Amino acid sequence: MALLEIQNLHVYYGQIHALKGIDLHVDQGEIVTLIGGNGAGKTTTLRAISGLLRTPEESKIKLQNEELTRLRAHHVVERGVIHVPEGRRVFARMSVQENLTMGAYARADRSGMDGDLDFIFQLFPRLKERRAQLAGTLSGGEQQMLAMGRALMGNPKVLLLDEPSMGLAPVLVEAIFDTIELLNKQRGTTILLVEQNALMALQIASRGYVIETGHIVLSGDARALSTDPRVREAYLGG
Amino acid sequence: MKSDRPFTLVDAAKLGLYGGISAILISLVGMTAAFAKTAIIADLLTMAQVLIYGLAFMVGFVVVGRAARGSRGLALPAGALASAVTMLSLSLLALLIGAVNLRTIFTNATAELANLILPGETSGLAGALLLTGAGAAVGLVAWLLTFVPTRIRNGLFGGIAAVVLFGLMQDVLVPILPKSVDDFLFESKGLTWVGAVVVFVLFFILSYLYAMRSQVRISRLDKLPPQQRQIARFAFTLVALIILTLLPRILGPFLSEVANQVGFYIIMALGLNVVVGFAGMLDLGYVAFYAIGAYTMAVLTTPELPIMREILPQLTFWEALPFAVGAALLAGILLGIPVLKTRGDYLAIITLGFGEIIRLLVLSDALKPFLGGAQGITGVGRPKIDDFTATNPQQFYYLILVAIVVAWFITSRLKSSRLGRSWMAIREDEDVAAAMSINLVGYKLLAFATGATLAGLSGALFASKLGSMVPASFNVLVSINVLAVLIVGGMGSLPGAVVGAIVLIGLPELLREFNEFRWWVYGAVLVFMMLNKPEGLWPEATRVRELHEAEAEHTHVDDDASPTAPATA
Repeated sequence: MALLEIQNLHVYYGQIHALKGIDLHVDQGEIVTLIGGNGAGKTTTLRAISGLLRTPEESKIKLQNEELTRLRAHHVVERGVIHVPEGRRVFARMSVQENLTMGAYARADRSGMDGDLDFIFQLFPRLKERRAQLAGTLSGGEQQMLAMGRALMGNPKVLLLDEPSMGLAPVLVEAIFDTIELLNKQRGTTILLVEQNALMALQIASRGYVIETGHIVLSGDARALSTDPRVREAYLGG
Repeated sequence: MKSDRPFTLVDAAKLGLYGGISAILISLVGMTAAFAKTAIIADLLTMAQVLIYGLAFMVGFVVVGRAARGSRGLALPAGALASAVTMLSLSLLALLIGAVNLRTIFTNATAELANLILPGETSGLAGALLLTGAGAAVGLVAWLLTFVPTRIRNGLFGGIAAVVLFGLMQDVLVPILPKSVDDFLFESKGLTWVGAVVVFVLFFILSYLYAMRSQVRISRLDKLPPQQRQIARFAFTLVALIILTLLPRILGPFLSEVANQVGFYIIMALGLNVVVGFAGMLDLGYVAFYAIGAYTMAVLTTPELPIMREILPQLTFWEALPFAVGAALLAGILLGIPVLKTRGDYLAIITLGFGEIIRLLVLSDALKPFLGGAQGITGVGRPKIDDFTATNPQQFYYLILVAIVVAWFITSRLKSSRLGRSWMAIREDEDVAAAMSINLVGYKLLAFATGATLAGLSGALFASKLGSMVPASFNVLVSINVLAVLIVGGMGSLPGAVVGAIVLIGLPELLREFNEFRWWVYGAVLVFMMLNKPEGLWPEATRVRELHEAEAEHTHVDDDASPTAPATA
């Protein structure tokens, strides 16, 4: 049974019909990637799932068969769907430690929190070194790590990652993707990954969806997609 | 001026010219003429002279500092040149006034002004030359001062500042000080010269000692074990409270009145601090809640307004207070609900409109039987305990003090609570805060309501203290003032709100001489603050850390692209 299931997802920005009936599902323990060009609707999909956008009646978003569609953002987080927004939006004026603590805002279990903090510092040793530093003064890569670490502090059932590679040096992108893979293997965290860097995303994902102007145009096994001529031509540079 | 290009005499002349333009401006708006009547030291020094020579000195001092960075030899000529140019520009104005009638454009450009600008009994070209020479001499003094050790220099500045302040505040100080001290220090207008010397020496020593001790003391307090530090803090609070309790006796009626005025603003600033400083929502209509608190208090307690008395019974101050505060709270929630979906600039404009709506409502003729219209309401109830009724400013002071303590307690507890951290997260980034499971609407509403409640409290006390009020007291300037208090004090900081209110509301009341130019000085202070101390006078710890750490860290941000290998565990 799918952990996160999305049926017929529509989003309107005023007159503009941005998502025209998206169907996708993410199974327990999977990394699923949603790839596509600029303005295809990748970020919109994630924002709709996490409750930051309103969706019309016919759209269905379910987590373990529980309806999330009409919930407001803070209730969606409480159910365990945690969004790491695009562009590494850390709380610039809080320290690294405070940012991580904010991530555990919705949690009640203190013991689990301490364990997660240890795990995050093990995953990102750099964050441990800089725990007292203001988040705004971290480098781009460190901020991305912090944004992911902060989401992990909420003990997610599903982690929604929006373009973790954006604006990072290639060598850092590789490190971030290694971490995502490691996270999935070690903790079994289920991940829905939105990426422009399709090649990297398909390498670590088990399945993928290709979105174009609000429609899913292709889907399937990640390896098959990465060799699909249409995908190669459109997103992988031939 | 952070370029590597060496500082030249041309730069010095340019800065001198800026100083000259400022001096001309000060003269043309009428400050020079007005302050010539304010004696600092009787028959010796007027405020106008302090202003003009002080300006020339500042220009010289800045230029000497900059020039000395390049070569020490340049410092003296550069400083003297800059100060001389400042004075030359001003004497040109004096000459121009003599030659051409400028009064059709600048009403203050009178022959009297020209006489004031030029030193002594001189006039014409000779006077201009003398003034320019005096400028060069001031530059020389500025140069000499760079050889004086910093601590002594600060002492000198402290002494001079004290003399000027004593001279300016003569009217305020005379009623407070004992008669014998008065006679010793002051003549009918200005300090006696003996008094000036005594004040100067006293404050020279004080600022010298302060500069020496301040660093030592802070480090000592930090070294104390936590328990003793707590005791020290407790003792400090106790002493502060005792002083605050005795204050109205020391201050007398006029200064207590000023203290009350500051108090109203402290309460409002603490409230607005929750909205703007904690939660980051720019509210420009804050005066609305102040007005609602004041009007609720007035309407419920006044014996006038027969129509209202038919509907509602006349209450006492104490009975009406919870209603006044409650009305403001309710208004905060009612306005909050539709408005909180907007952000930033839009929120600011909507609240601005709301503030005006409230003001126009209380002003309107249609509501005159209920709210008093343009004439306002008189006979507002006073606080009464048994047979004792608070009427004068000194008695009201205590009520306001208690309200400030309550406001301080509430907001400081909120700040360090889970709620406070949620507000901080919302201020930083609303979307991410929502993604952390923070209920945006609920928490923003709470911030808005808390702010409104404190404004209502301040308004209710204000109405009762005044005994009568008019709609004109609730114009948009109140909102702007409270915001300026926060900015100058330090956004998000509680002590900042207090310091800001004292500086922006209290000082102008004390320096009555400036009253005519109040907004002029106000604007200059704000510009200066934003350029030189954007974090405020008493900033929040985070803001200091942000502004200064960010500067220090800036060099390495984004250049450490070294791979961070995920740990293998």
